[in-house]
Amino acid sequence: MTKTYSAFNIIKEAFKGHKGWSPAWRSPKPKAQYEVIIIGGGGHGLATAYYLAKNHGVKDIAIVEKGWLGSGNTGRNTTAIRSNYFYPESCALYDLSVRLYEKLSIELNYNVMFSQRGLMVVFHSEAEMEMAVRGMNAMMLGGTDARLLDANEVKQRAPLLNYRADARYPIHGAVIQERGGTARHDAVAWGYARAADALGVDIIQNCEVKDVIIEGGTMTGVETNLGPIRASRFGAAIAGHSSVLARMAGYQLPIHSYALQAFVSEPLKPVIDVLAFSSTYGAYISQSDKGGLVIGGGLDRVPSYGQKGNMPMQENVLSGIVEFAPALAKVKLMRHWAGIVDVTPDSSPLIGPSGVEGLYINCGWGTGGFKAIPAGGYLFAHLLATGSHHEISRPFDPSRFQSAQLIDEGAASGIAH
Amino acid sequence: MRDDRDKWAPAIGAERPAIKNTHLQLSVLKTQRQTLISGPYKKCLDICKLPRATSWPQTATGNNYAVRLRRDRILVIDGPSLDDGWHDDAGVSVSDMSSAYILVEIKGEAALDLLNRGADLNVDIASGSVVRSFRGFDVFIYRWQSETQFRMHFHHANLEAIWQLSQAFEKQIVEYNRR
Amino acid sequence: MSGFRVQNRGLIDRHKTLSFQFDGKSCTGHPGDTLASALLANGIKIMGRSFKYHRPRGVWGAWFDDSNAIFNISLGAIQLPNCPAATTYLEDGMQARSVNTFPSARFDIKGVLDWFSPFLPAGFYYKTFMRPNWHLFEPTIRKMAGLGKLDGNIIEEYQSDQIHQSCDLLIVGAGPAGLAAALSASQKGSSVVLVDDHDIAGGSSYQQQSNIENKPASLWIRDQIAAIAGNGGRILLSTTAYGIYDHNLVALIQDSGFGHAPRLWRMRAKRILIATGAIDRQITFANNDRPGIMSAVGALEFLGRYGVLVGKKIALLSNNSHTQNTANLLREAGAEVETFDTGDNSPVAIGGKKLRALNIDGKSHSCDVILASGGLTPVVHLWRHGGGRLEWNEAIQAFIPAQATTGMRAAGAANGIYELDEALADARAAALDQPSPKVQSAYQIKALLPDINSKKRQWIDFQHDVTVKDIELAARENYSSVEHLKRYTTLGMASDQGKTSNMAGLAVMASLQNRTISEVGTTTFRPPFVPVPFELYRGVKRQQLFNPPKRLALEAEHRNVGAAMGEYGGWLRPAWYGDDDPHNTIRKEVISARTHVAIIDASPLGKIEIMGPDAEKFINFVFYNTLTTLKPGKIRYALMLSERGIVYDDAVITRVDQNRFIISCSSSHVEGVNNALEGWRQDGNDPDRIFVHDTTQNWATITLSGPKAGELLSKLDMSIDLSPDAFPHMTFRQADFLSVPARISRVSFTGDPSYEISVPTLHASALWSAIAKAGKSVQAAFIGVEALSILRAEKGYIIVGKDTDGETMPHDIGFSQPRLRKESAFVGDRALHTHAANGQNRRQLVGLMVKGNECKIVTGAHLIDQSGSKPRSIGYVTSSYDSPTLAHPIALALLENGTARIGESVAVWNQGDIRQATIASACFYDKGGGLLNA
Repeated sequence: MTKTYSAFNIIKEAFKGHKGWSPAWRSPKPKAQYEVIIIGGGGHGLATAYYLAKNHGVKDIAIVEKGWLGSGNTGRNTTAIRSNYFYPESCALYDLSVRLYEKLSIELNYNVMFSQRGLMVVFHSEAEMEMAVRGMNAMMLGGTDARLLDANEVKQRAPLLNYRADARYPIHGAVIQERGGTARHDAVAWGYARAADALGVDIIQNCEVKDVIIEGGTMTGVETNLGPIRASRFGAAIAGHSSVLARMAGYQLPIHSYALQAFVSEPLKPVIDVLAFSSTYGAYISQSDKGGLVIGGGLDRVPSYGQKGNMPMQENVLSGIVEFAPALAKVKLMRHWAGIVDVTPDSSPLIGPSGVEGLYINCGWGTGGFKAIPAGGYLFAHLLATGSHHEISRPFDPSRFQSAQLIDEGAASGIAH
Repeated sequence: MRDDRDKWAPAIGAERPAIKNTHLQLSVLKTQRQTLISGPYKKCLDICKLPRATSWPQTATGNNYAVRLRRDRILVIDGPSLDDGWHDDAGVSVSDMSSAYILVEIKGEAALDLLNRGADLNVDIASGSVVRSFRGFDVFIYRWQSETQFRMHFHHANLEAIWQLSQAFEKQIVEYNRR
Repeated sequence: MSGFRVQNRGLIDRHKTLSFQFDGKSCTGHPGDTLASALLANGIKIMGRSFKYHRPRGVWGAWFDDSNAIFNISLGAIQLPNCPAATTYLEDGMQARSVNTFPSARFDIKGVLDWFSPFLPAGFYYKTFMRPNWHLFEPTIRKMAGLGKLDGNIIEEYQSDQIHQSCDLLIVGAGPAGLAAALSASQKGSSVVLVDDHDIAGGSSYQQQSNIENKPASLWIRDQIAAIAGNGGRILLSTTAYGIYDHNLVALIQDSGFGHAPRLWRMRAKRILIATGAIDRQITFANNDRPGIMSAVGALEFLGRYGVLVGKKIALLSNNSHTQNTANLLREAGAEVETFDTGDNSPVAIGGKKLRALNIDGKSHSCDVILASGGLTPVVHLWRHGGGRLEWNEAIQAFIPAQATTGMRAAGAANGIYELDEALADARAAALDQPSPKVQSAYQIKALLPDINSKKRQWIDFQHDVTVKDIELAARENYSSVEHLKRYTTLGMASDQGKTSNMAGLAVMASLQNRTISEVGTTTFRPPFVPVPFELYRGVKRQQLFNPPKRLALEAEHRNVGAAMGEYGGWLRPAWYGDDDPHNTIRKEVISARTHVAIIDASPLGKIEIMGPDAEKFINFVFYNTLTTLKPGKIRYALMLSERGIVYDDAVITRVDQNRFIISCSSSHVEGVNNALEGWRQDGNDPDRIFVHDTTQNWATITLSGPKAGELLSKLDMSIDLSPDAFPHMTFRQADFLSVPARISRVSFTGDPSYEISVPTLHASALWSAIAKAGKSVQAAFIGVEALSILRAEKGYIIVGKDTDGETMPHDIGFSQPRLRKESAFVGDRALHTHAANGQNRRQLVGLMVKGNECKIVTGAHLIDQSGSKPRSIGYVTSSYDSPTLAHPIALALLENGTARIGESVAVWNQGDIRQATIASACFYDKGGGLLNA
C-alpha cells in the first residue's frame, strides 16, 4: 500500500492505475472505552487529536463526529489565515497558528496549500488611517508582522480595487500582513484526519452525541447513535453547536450562534493576488487557486442554527464588494452558503474546563476559527493531556468572564458594544 | 487633508422641483404641523381629537389625520398645537416634529412601482405600522386620499439621498416600461 | 461542414440573419438562436476544452444543463466573461472566445495535458507540491486554473433594477404544467406570477410535435397565455427563479439582454409551485465525453426551439421508454437514427475531435452523434432551497420532491410525472392546493449500473474532468461520504454545480459501496440555481447612494462661505472654511475661536427627549452619573455605559422640567443611544410612564464659542439676561427668536464660554443669517470640525471611540465618584467592581508633552515599557495636534496607571522608532476652568 504522498509516488502509482493508495483514514467501529474522546470532527477536533497523539503520546483517542469529518465550519469558511490582532495575547495565539500552518503541509505530508500571499486591511479616511497606525503598532509589538502601505502601494498590490474619483470610499492606505493568506480548508481537515488516524486515533463519523453520561459529577461517557462510549477525559470542539452540548451537560456558555454567509464566484483567470479587506465597505475578497473569488462580510444578526442566510446580508456584502472593486459587477456568483459561528462577548475564544469535571471546551472562535485550527488543536491537546493550560491559552480560559479580564478584539477597533 | 466638497452635489433642500412625468409625480409638501405623540393608543387619539390613526394598507384622508408608527406612537399631521413634553392630564408625551420630517407625495400609475423598488410593500399584507425601510432609510409610507396616492415621511437629513434614489428608481421604471 | 438547420422546425426568425465570430471564425445565426444552437447549425462541434485535461468538448445540453461551452463574449465595448453558450441568446456582432483555450477550442495547445492524465488523478495536488514550498508551484497552477478572463473594464450603465413584489402563487416554469397551473389558479382569483427562464414560454412542448389537449401545442400555449393574462396573471419571461429564502422569498433574475444588467425581483409568495421540468441524465460509458455526445432531450430541444438537427447519423443510447418517440422525432426531421439499449454491452465512443462510431458489444456502428438518454431527472434544486425533502423513486429511478414546508408544491416532470395529461392534472390540482390524482405511469426505465470495472476512462463531470476512476480512487482512499467525494474529486463543483454529473456520480458511488443511490444521498443544493452577476445585488446602492451621509439643513450656507466638506459621524459637515492651505486655515480658525468667537454648526448633536412621570428614575438608571439631583434649567455631563461598564457615549443632559430631560449625545451615536434607551425602557418599566423621542433632526443648533460669544449672543436680541449670575455655565434657557421657540444651552466643548442656540430646523437659515450678520462686528469666524477637534483636545475633552476604546470605564477618564457613591442601580454598575475593573494597571486618559522644538507625536503610536527583553505596549496615543493656542504640540493618550505617573517620562514607539514624551494632565488649556464661568 502506498502511504506516503510525493510526486515520486504519484508517478509510481500512475503505472498501477492508482490502485495502491491506502485509505486516508480508517472507518473504525467505536470501542467501548477510550482515554480521551474528542467531540467534533472539524478542524479543531482533528488537530487536537493529532497533537494529543503526536506531542503528548496519548494512545487511546477517539473523535466522534455526527456527520462527515470537516462538515461544519471547517468546510464552509472563506479560508483566510492571519494573526493581525490587537492584543498581545491574541497575537501570540493566532501567530502560533500561522507558524504551525507554515510547516503544516510537510509535517502532515498533505498539501494544505497555505498561500502566504499577504492580507491587506484597507482604510478609507484620515481618521481610519490613525486607527490603522494604532492597530499596526499593536501587531508589531505583539510579535506579528505588519506594514503600512500608502494608496499607491495598495494600488500596486491590488489594481482591481476602486481607485476611481467617484468611489464612495477612497483608498487612503492599508496595513498588510505579508505572512497572512489562504489555505484549502478541506485539505486542512483531511490532512489532520489522515495524520491522526496514522497515529492510531479512531475517527468515528456519523456518530452523534445524543446525551452525556455524568456519574458523581464527572463526565464518564457519551450516549451516541452507535451506543455509549466511555472515556477518562472529553474535549468538545463543536463550534456553533456548543450550546447544544452545554445544555445536555448542564453548563452555561457566553455565546450566541449566528449564520455567517460566504460567497464564491465562477472561476476566473487570476485577478487579485492578495486578500483585501475593507471594514467600511463591509466585505473582503480573495481568489482561490481554482480561480473563484471568495467573498465574505458580516454576520446575519439573527441567532440561528440554520446553515444559510438571507438576502439582506447578501446584498450588503455583495454591494460592498462591487463598490470596493467595481470591475466585479459583471462577475457571476456561483454559490453561497453559511456556517454557524459561536460568538463570545469579547470576540475571543473559550479554551478551558467546561465546569463539568472531565469535560473541556474549545469553542467561541466566532468568525475566526479556521485560521486558528493548528493553534486551537495544539493548545487544547496540551490542556487535555496535562490538565493545565499552555501559557498561550491561559488568558482564554472561560473564567475570564468572572474576573472580567477580557481580551476584547472587537473593542480594539474602538467600538464599545 | 481630504476635501470632499466637490464629491457631493450641493444639497438643494426642500424647495426643489418635483419629479414629474406621465406616470409618476413626486413632490415635497408643506405641512403646517407634524406632531409625535407617544402613549396608550386611545389617549394619543384623544389628545389630538382623531378617531383613528392610519396604518397599512388603509388610506388617510384630508389635511388633518394621524398615522400609526407603533402600538404606542402616532404622528399627527396638521393637528392642534400642543406643548412639547409630558402631558399629565392626557397621559401622553408630545414632541413637535414639524421640522424633523420631510413629507413627500407620490402619485401616478407608477407610484407603487417606485415604492416597491425601495420597500417590501404588500397591499395584501396588513401592518399596524406605517414604518418601512426604503432601501435602508427609515420612512413612513401610507396611502393618502386614494389607493394609488401615497405619502412618505423621512428625516430631512436624508432628503438629498432619498431624492437621488427616487430619481434613480424613476429612470428604472421608464426603462422597464420601455422594454 | 454542411449545415444542420432543418426546415419547419424551431422558433427562430429565419428572415433575419445575424453574424458573429467564434474563436475567430465567422458564423451566422438567427434571432432566437442561442450561441450553442447557432454554432451547431454552422456545423461546429468543438466548443470548449475541459478544465483539467483540456479535452475537446462539445455542447451537451440545450439549456442550463450544459457545462462545456463557456465563452468570453465581446459585443462592442462590452466584454463579459464565462457566458454559457447554451443560455446566451445570439446578437449581431458578437465575438465569442472559448475560455481557457489557446489559440482556440479546436486547437488548444494545453490539450497535451491529457497525455499526462495518469499523473493528474483526482486530488493529485494534495499529494505533492509540498517541497520546498507551495509558493513555488502556486503561480503556475493559478494561471492554468480559472475559466474566463476578467477585462477590468467597468460598464457605466450596468445597473440592476430591483423590485419587491408579492403574489398568492408563484409558479416556476411555463411549460405545459406551469401554464395549466397558472390558468387554474388565476381563474380562481389568485394573484399568480408565472416565470420561465426562456424568452418564449412552452417549456418542453417544443421537443414534441404533438397536440396538447387536442390543440397544436403552439396554439394551446398561446391560448393559455392569453387567458392567464386576462385573469390578471403576470408572466415573466427570460426570468430564472434562482433561490428560495426564508418566509417564501423567491429571488428571480430577469435577463435584460447582453451587456445590460439583469433585474432582480424579490418575490414574496404565499405559495410556490415548482414546475421546472426534468433534464436527461448522462450515461456513463467509455469515452463518453467526446464532442458529439449529447443529451437526448437536449437534441430534441435544439430541434424544437432552434430548428437544429444535431447530427445526420444518430446513435441513441437509452435505458427508458422514451427512446422510440425520440428516435421518431429525429427521423422525421431527417436524421438516420439507430437505437441501443444500455446494459451489459460495454458501449465505447469511437473518435477524438470527431465522433465516428459507437461500439456496442464490440460491434462498431458508425454515427456522428451519440445521444445519451439515461432517464429523466426532475429539476429539484429550488425544492431543496425551500427546505423540501427528496425521496428516491425506484420506479422512475430519480429523486422526486417529497415533504415540503407549507406553501410549496411541485408539478409535472419536476414532480416525476412525465406523461402530458397526467402532468396537466397534477399541475391543476397543485395550483388549487388539492391532492394530486394518482398516476399510472407508462414510463419504463432500467436502472443504470455503471461498469466500474472498465479499463477505459468514463466521464462523470465534464467540466472538471472527473472520471469513474477518480471516484474509485476517492472511495479507495475512504473519501466515501457524498460530500467528501464531491470535494475531493471536485465532482459537481464546476460552474454548472453538478446539474448533470450528480446523478451519474451517485450511481458510481452506490455501485462501489454496494449501496443504493438513495442510501448514498445527495450533496447540498445551494442558490443560485444558475450563476448571477454580483451587480444583481447592487443596483442603485453605488457611489453616492452607497451609505450616503446625512446632510445639514445649512449646507448651502456653509458652501456659500467656502466650506470644505468631510464625513463625520455619518454627516457631511464643514471640515474647515476657505480655499487656502487647510493646516493654516484650521490654525487660524482655532485662534479666532480663542481670541474672538467661533460659529459652529452643531446640528448633528443628538437631542433625545426622555419624558414622563418616571423619566427621572429612568434616566438616573441608564446613565452613570447621578441625575436625580439635576434641577430644571440645569445641565450635567453624563456617561452612558454598556452593561459591561464600558463608556458607550457621553452626553450633556438638560432637565427642562420635572418630567422632561433632553439628552444631547454624540452625533455619531444618536441611533445607538436611542435604541439603548428604548431597549431599557421596555425592560422592567411601566411603558406608559417613560417615553423616548429622538428629536435630533427637528432642531438646528449653532454654537457660539469664545471670549466674545456672549457679546455676539446679545446682538441677536433674544431677550435673555446674559450676566454670569443669571445664565451661568451648564444652564439652559428657553427664549424666542423672531417669534419662534429657541433654546440656549450654555455648555462648552472648547473650554471657552459657549452657547448652543437651537431653533426648529425650518428656521435655521434665519438664525444663521442673523448670527453671520451680527458676527461681523465681533470678528466672528466660522469654524469646522477639524478646528473643533483641536479646541476640545486642548481642553482635554474626549471624543468617545477615539480617546476611549472598548475597554475604557468611567474611572479611567476621571469619573470615579458614581462608581464609589451612587447608591441606586445603574447600567454597568456590577461590571465596575470586577477584578479587572479594580486593576492597578488600567489604561487611563492622560496628556503627553514633548520638548519645545519637537514635532507632534504620531496618532496611533504606542507607549511602551522597556524594562523587559522586548518592548511591551502600555498604551497608545489617541489624539495629537499642533496646538495653535499654546504654540506647542499636545497629545492625549490611554496609558497604564497614567494618572499616577504625571510628570514622568514615557517612551513612545511608532513602527520601530522610539522617542520620549512627558506624561501630563489631559487638560492643557485653562486648567482651573475659570474661563468657562466668565
